[in-house]
Amino acid sequence: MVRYRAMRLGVWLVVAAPALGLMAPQAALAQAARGGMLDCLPIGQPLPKIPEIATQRTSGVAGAANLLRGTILLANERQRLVMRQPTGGGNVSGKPGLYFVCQEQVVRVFRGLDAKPPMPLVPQNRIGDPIPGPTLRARLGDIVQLTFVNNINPGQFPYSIDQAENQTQLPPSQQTAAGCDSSTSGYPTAGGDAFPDCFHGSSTGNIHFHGTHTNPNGTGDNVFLEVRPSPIVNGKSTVTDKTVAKPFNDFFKACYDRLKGNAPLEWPTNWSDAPLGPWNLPNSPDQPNPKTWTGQQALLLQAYDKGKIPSQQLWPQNLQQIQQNLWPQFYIGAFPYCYQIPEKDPAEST
Amino acid sequence: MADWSIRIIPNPDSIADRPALLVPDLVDALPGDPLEVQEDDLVSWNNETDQPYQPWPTDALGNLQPIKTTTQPIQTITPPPAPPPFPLPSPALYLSDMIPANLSSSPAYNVVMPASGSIVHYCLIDANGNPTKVRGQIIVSAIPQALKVPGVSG
Repeated sequence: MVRYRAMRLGVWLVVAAPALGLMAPQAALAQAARGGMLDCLPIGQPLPKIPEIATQRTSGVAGAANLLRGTILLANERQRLVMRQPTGGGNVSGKPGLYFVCQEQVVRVFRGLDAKPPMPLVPQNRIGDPIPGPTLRARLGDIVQLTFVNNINPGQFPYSIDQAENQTQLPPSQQTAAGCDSSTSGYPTAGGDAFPDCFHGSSTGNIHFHGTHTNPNGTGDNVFLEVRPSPIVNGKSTVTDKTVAKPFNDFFKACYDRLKGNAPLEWPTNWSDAPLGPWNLPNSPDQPNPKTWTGQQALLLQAYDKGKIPSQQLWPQNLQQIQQNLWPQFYIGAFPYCYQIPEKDPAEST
Repeated sequence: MADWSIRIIPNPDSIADRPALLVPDLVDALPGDPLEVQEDDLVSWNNETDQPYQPWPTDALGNLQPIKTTTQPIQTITPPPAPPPFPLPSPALYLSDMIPANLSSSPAYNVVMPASGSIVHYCLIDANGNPTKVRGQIIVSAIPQALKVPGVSG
């Protein structure tokens, strides 16, 4: 399940650029119309430049590595989407007689907050056009430091959860549907899908990088992470790139010092490693430390779990992994990725 | 197939039997606007209030419509009380389970053309299944036909 969802988002970030690069530039903001119907852009629009976050060259100090540093935001945006008509099975692209309309749709998007050219999130009172998430451009030996922020508003989509719920308490005919998104027409059973291979938890995110050959655990290229959306209070996300800037900057500095020239190093390995941890108080080891980032994550997860049935709670699973000295799986609002892409082995043939 | 959301927001006027407002989640929509959809689109409701509500089909006058279950024993259900969630696939007319406060609805409503007319009328029922005067409309259009294009001879 975890791999499925994480891969889905990761692949989007990695391969969406060439696929969607043919679409219209985001700068041409659509005009709103009644009923969600919009005028489509005329064909023949110029191709937009896909925004990039690229490695910055550091000083020539011996041992210094080059840094790819940036912030990737996952959030909701209203977009003008092109929809094929008529809908329905068999009406595949290229079939004679089909045509297109454009509609306002709320979608989840990746945005590079410090990408060039800029790609700011379109405000909720406006409608943008699709553009892929940022291209990440780095070279072998570079250190990657990314702040990932999940500011999705799940309320704008049908309710979706991360895990099977009450699976053993349902009659056998319904057990495969537990944990999946559902529709009145009978999805997932009617579509032949079953947990965990079904649409679910679609507001949870992660960034997975293919081919990095680096640390697959902790804050490296960790495919198992599940980063839930930030809580929303009075319409605003409480976890943002600004609220995590201090702990993440401290962590990135420590990570740089640890990793430069030692790409395979697996660090940090658990929530006790400073400066992100320790997650708990020295005199009350069961209590989260509100002054560290991992301690704040524990508090956010405990708040998320309130009122949920045990099979939907996330903190107990994290705690179990922490007690096994593992890097836990669930996070809320943000995550810092830090790893070094190994240099090519000189002994390896070209 | 498009996906749509309808916001359930607190009514600032705090009228007793109209505690909330329904607003299509579109950039120019106003409270009370109908949502225009096409057959087979998906619709969900985003409950932004601190009370649970469930959208329930009505006639054009706001009277709750009975819904017949599709599994044994066959029952015809009209709130109150609020019914438990129906097994999937849901019966015709069924829009959503009860939506907890500050969450969105489930299952997603897969739009079907009403048996008569093209408007799905509904109102919100409260946690006890009592109807409110919070009423909404979903205007359904049929899936269009493909364009007739001349054949290509070659």
